[in-house]
Amino acid sequence: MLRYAVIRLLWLIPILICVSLIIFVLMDAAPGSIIDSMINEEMTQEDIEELKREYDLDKSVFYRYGKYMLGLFRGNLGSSEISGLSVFDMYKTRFPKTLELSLLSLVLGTLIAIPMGIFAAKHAGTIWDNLTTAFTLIGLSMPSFWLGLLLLIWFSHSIKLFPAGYDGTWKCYVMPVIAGGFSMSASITRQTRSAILDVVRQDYLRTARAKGVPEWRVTVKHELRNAWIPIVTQIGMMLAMTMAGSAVIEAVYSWPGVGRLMIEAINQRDTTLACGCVILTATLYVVLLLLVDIVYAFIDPRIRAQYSAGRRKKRRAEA
Amino acid sequence: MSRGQTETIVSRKEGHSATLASRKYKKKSAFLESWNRLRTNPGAMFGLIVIILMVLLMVYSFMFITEEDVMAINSANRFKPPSAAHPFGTDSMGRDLFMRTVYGTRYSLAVGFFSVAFGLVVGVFFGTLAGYFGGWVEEIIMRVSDVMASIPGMLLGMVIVAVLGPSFLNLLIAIGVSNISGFIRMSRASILSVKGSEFVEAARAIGMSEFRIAFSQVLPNSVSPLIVTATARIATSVLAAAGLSFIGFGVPVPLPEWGALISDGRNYLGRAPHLTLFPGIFIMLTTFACSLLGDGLRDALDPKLKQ
Repeated sequence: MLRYAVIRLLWLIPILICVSLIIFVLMDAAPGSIIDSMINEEMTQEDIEELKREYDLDKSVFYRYGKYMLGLFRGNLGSSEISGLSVFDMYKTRFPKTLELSLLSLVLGTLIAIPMGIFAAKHAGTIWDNLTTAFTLIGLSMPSFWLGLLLLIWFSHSIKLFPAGYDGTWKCYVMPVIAGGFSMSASITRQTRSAILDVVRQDYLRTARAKGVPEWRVTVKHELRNAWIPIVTQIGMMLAMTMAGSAVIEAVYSWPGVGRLMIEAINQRDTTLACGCVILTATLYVVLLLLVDIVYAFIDPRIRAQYSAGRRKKRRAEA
Repeated sequence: MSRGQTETIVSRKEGHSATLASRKYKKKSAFLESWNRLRTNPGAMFGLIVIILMVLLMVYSFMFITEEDVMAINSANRFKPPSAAHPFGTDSMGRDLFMRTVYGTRYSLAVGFFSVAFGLVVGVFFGTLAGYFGGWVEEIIMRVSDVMASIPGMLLGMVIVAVLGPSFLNLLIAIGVSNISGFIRMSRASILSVKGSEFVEAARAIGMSEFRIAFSQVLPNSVSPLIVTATARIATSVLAAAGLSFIGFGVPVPLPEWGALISDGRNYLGRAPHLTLFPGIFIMLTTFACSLLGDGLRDALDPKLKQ
């Protein structure tokens, strides 16, 4: 188990370096640079050169990247070009809001999805199954920001039940959580249904039923436990994707999270802030997906065993 | 003797020597078989019909709706609710929303189609190389693909559009790039599953080059999962494009891309909810249709997968 986690953690390093390098180089290539706003007419060519040297613009992009990454490890990502505040601190204050929203949506989505997926699988091929499939397809096709706006039209403009934006009370969470949770529940339902269907004809289920295990226990203990892996993957993926794509739903509800911070930063050409936000969010995404992989091994001893037998062998066997 | 019976006897006479001639016929029947399975699937047919309708709408918009029609400002006509003259109502500048939405079909359909086609071509090329040749080629391609898959699509889209500036082409590139790694994995996996077949050995025995075997023998035999994935990816790409446009990282205003239309409508939620409602229905219908068709194709092309 430890070996597995360590291997996976080590693998994280090259991926993170590549991901952040790609983003840094892209953002660095964006038109306009950090010193543009500082240059004024009174400056001589030498002053400008001096400024360039100060911000390492005379050196290669990789030098700047290296320096930037060193800063990242010290929790120093430079400061916003507009507000002058530390990027790391700005991200840190906004982050809990995004996390809250994503986790609540995830909880709502999962609570709807797992029972519904099991229900659909148990009634496979019937009208109930088809209805569930229709529901999930609608959930997958509905843009979450559009659902968010429809909720705003009904609950905020027509009957004025919930506030349209963030105001700190519990009420302002209701609509964004529903809007975010709905599409999540759709894909988790789909995954749950097919995972349960994969195990539903196994002999051990017949055995369990034959010896008189009550049906709910068969479902929870025998079916669900053997179907967990794809479901957990889906849940983890959804969490990672929601956090990374939080910009859209945060834009709908003027939510003070990192997604909106990112949009504002990019729109105001605040490259330092934008780059910091994107790199931190991408890092978070990669780490979350890794955690899902490690959770696997907790759920499924077979995967653990494969890893202690050696990574190579397992990959060859898969091929 | 009726004509059918004659044919039977003739074909019987030819016996097994006719296998070569019937190969063409067999190939066609595999396609027909899939088509018949697809045809009996009401969901898939619904999806197909909606997609055809959308394409027809797009053709209509190319022929009859000019850019002036959707851009001309008419301040006397602002915020009209849906009526016979304006089926979807009018927007804050008095422009007809129906015309704008129909005009917008081209953006969403084009993003859906071309970004997937881009991801498919690039992804399948590298995926085939990786799956067929293995070794260090596979290692490099798969690790690069891992890195690409590690960058969340939405973020990559925002960054690419931020760097290149908001335009239709840049939106297409942004989404196309995020489609690549999925296709690399898919095609590698399906290549691996047919690579050991006898027909590959046969091709090698007659002296075909490895590169040609990979692309002319192995690839065509692993194509059905790719078709299914591509159809499903069109749906997610349309959604992603709408999302990016909605937050201002897509087609620049005032062009009537659906996400951008919704973004415009959100300023008048209380006053003119129809501005938000109709473009959203179009997005939903398009993605819904593609998902249905994708599911139907999966069942039709590979009945084994059907649950």
